[in-house]
Amino acid sequence: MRILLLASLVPALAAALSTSNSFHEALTLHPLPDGKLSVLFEFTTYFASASTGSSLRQSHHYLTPPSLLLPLEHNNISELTVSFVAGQWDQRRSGEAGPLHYESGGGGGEVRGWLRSNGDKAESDRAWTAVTHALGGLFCAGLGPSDEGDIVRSFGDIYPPHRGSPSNLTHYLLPHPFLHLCTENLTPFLSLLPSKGLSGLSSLLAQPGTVFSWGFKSEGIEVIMPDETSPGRWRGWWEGVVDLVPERGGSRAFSLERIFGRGIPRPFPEAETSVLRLMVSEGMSMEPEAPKREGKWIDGRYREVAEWDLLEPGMQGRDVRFWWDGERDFVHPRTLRPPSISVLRTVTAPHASDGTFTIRFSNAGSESRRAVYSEVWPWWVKGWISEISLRVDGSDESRDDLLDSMSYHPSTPPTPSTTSLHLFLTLPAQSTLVVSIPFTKLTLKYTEHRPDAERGVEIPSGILNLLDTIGEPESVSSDVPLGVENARQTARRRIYTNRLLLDVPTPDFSMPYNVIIMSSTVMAVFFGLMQGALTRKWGWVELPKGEGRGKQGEDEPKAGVSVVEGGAQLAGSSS
Amino acid sequence: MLRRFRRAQPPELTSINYTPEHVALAKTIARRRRIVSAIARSIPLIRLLLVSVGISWLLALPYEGLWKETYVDEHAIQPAQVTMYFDWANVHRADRYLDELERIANATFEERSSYTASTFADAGLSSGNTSHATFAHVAPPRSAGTETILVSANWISRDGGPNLRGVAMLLALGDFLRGQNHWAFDFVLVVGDSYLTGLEDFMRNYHSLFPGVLWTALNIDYPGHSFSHLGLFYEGVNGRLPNQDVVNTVAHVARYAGGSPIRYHDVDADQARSGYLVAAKHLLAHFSFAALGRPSGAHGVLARHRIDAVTLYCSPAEGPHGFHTLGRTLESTLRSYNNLLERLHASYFFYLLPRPDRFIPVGHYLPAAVLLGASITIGGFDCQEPLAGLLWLVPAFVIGYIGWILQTPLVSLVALVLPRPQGNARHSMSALAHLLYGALIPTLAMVNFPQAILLATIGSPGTDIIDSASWRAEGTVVRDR
Amino acid sequence: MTSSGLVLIAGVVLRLTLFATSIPALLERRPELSTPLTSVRSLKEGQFILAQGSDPYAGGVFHHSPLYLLLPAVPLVYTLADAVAAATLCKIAKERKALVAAVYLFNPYALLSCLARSTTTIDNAVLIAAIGAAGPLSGAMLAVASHLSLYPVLLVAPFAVRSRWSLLAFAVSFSGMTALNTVIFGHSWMRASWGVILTVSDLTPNVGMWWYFFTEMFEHFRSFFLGVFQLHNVIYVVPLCLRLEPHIAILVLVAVFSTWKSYPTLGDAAAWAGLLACYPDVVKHLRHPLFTLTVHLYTFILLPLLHSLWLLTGTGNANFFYAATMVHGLNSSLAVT
Repeated sequence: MRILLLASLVPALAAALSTSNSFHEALTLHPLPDGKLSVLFEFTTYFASASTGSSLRQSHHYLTPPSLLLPLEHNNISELTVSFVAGQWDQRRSGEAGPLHYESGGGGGEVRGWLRSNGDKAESDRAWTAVTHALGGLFCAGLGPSDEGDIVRSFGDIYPPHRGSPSNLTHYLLPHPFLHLCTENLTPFLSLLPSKGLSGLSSLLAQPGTVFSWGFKSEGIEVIMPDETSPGRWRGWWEGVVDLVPERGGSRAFSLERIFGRGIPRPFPEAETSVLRLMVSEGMSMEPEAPKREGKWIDGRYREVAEWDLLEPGMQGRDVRFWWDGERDFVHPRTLRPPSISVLRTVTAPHASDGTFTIRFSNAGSESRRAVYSEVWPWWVKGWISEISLRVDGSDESRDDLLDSMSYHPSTPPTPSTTSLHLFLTLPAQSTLVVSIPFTKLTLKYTEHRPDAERGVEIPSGILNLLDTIGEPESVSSDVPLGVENARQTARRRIYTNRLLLDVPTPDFSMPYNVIIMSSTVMAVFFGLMQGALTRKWGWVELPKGEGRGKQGEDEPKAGVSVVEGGAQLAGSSS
Repeated sequence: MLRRFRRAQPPELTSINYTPEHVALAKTIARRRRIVSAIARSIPLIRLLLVSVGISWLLALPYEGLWKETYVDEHAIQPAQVTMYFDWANVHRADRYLDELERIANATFEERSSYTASTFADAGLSSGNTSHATFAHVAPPRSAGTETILVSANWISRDGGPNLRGVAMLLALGDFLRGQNHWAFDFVLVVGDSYLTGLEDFMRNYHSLFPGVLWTALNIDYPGHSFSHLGLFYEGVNGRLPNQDVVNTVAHVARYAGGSPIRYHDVDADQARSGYLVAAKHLLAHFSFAALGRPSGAHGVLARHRIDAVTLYCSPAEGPHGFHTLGRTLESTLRSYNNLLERLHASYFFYLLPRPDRFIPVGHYLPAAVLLGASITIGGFDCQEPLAGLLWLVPAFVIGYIGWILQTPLVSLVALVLPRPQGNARHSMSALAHLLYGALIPTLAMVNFPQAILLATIGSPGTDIIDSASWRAEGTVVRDR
Repeated sequence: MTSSGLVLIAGVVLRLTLFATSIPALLERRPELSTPLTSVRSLKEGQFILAQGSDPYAGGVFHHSPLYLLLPAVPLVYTLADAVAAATLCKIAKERKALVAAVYLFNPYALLSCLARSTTTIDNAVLIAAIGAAGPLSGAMLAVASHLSLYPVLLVAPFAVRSRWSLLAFAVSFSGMTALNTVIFGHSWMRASWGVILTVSDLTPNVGMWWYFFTEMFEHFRSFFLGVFQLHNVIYVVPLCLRLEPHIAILVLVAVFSTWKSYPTLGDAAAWAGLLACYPDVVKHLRHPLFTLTVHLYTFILLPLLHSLWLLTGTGNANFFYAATMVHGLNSSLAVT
């Protein structure tokens, strides 16, 4: 599978080698079955290696952003992916397992990459931390690790390198599932582009008022640094989902003007290609007609893609309209076809200190699939590995045979660290596999809680990594009918679950002083009583006679007790 | 315990040294003994005193002096500060849904469920159903899916009649919520079968269906044609109350954003009668639900799942309010819930509401229960044979356990045919029973005050009667000897 | 002897019958009965990880002594442990043996601890066996008890007073077991089991005084207060040995560290209650037994109630549970004195 991926990369790189720096942009519109539209901007730059023949180390940045590439070069990064995802991708309603750009991560912010290492672990760690902090300076402050222990190092197999072999590379992953991390700011992203949001497709994107009202945003960059033989590639993507159905109902007809408020912008002069693509769905018509329509395998289905070249002289300023024939009022479909693999993760039996992660893998396809499911937990979530159970929905029998093996990297409480768990699963055909992982939340110290402690803490998305995908071939014989499906014919290897919010049991934050004095008081009382009891002298006291009902005298043993007690009162003080 | 044992010999019985400390000490011991015996003699009097203070405290609860003014403690909520978009077009939709619902009101659950599910689906929401409930999931564009608000309207109202307008309101709400992008929470709209069972069934399945945590919820109960007041019902199962912020938010929103006045429990507080009687009525209504652990609305079944919820009950009247008011109230309340970043924790969980806008905090009502409990406990201090008493109590516990397993209190009738203890053992058993019962009352009062009061008022005179009867029997036995 | 034998059999039968119901499943997770150091859930997790071939202490949930890795966590073992403890108590007590056995076996704390399969049951059995044995055997058993939960090491002094040989036996067995464990399991177990007892790095709520104190503590003072709390247990050893006869000193020391150890459970209270029953002279002169028992009853109800109020229903506050633990601790302290 890896070979296929590189094979598909070679033609692109070969093309890029001919021009050492080139910039390509594309806007893909993908109508979804429930009346929404997925909008994907992709900006790809190929750049040559920085090493020249001269003795001075030079870095020539023509189309590439030095603020991004210089820290990466300095810290020996081989590949890096940063992704910010806000909102949730609804697998069932959209019919797709994830957004159109396959490199989008799970919810929240995520930084992952491969470092060229020379075997020195501390050096690599330092370089990685430096890179993430530099990226934090670019995007937003929380992007670096708040503690050394937040970095996850066991995901190298999940995100194989595009270039090079894992033996001299180290993989790092840093998930930030927190709410709204960096997802509300277009400026850092746009400033990395050569067109800077002023011309070309980026000017369509550069309208925060419009695009931030859409749902599900996925924004990110992926950088593959150049090495001796091949040029580098950095790609930025921005994907959003817009609801095409008007609030009071109506037809889904849309156009660039309606979505973006403007027509085709003036082209970016340095752009080598600038295309508008539409994944044509049934019954769609467009105006102007697309000069190029071809079939392509995209994510397991053979679809028709219409393409417009936006660099053509007559395109600037024009509006492109799309509609569905005969549609007056859009009727939401009653039943929606789920994607061939979908994942849902919830917490069942949620008590404040315990719970069970229940992950449901639905395989709607007709073959069984092999996959690795990975989870990352903070140090205080302790899964009970001995109690992991698998079953197929609809029956109660335990199906441990579907779990081939497991790789478990536990955290080391109470130092901040992460737990990562990789389960090698077989997903049976036409059924839903339910995996239950009971867990306990360890108690956090006063100083370890976050400021709004009653909210709870977000857990990063789980990742289902499909092992048996065969990629999307570039060209295919034209007698494949449109709409045919093959679940394994996809380049999407990873499917992400939603984030989870876990309640954390909180102590009373106003109480440290009171707790200290109360506990100390109890201890002091005990100590005093013990010390008193150990250092007493005893004596006898005779009670005055005739004192009502009080017992007296020395002839009853019970009186002896109380009498001596009185004596002891005195004796204790004089010892 | 330690004082008994030393290495050295115990002091000689005859070696009394008459020092001034000795005399003072002797006087102290004697006085202490006198006090203790005085107290022991007057235990019934003390008990009576405690009970009367406790009962008079209870009777003082409807009096204004113990009250405080309500306020919304969680600053994020900001009630009634938003512009509402729910308008007459949505009301029109609700009316159309109502017409449809009236036609299928008596159909089977499958038919009604398929209608509601398809109506939600037509509005663009994913819908489904469990065996006793239909649900729809609203995923607003900018929500992360990690937090959810539940809004429910069941088929049967708390009056016992159909809640068609409630369900119509929910359908209109589902249609209204789609497409608005200022919500940060997901919504789950539930139409449960019958009164409570549907919602309870849904909650049991919720965590397998949705990943979001539920912090707050609302239940709509709209039996009549129009309403004049919005009644708030807040008691949950086992007397659990939601965070007071929920009640205060809805009250505030209903008054200022919706425009309709608020009542608690549908108790009419308008007439200018004596405030004491009105407050007593409110408290009695609250007690009647919480003392037996009955939920006062369908929201009650949510309490077990740590969800703070109330039921909005539109008290039927010819009055001026209808879908429009209710819709705006709902929208504004949901917008306030939407502001929450944390689970509600700021305001009180234990309170009594004697009147809209007033509440009684824990510290002002708990001493009543503590006093009543103490009065019972004090009756148990004179225990001669704890071991024998304990042995006789074991059958009582066994009966109780069997009754809990079988879920019926009738098992306790078996106690009538069991052999009874006599004499000292009987008295010890009664003393231990006093101690146990007295321990139960204040601890229960922390969780469910009305229930503790109920048990105390049944228990107190009961134990007093048994006590006096047994003492009289003891007295005759002793004298006869 | 026969009546105490009957009591033993009754206790065993009661436990085995209750194990067949659903009660043990409810009890296994209760923090009053088992702490992270004694819970059966983490024991099974540790054994599972060991069976998979990895270091059980790397997971961060397993804090038991390595000796427990060999123990099958089946109900029969815990029942037998209780029976052995009761039989040893009978041996320690000179009169009213049946009553002593009954007090231990039917003590709700001990019974529920056994049903919850908390390893406190086994710790208690070994401790009581150490107290009941004589000469070198007691020293060896004390070494085992100290290995299982660190605090019995405080009893070395009164044991040494009782019999010189036990000190030697203790030293030999203790170091022998440590060496054996290190050879088999490496070094990680010391930090995970004893290290947690000494440094309280796991703050799961329990009935002790320590957890909330160290939850609310700021980092700066942590080591100081850790020292103070540990020292508090140690300082009573010498005075008690000087003042009291060894068997009473042992009783009081067990009571002291059952209450003040870093991760106590209700089962620990059962141990010293059982020992107390062996000395009727002491019992006769208890100052306020009824008060103590009543307060124990109160806390027995309050502790699980307030714990669920905090963590299950989310309406209460951690303070309530903490207050209940305070009361429990204070009460136990009063009972001791």
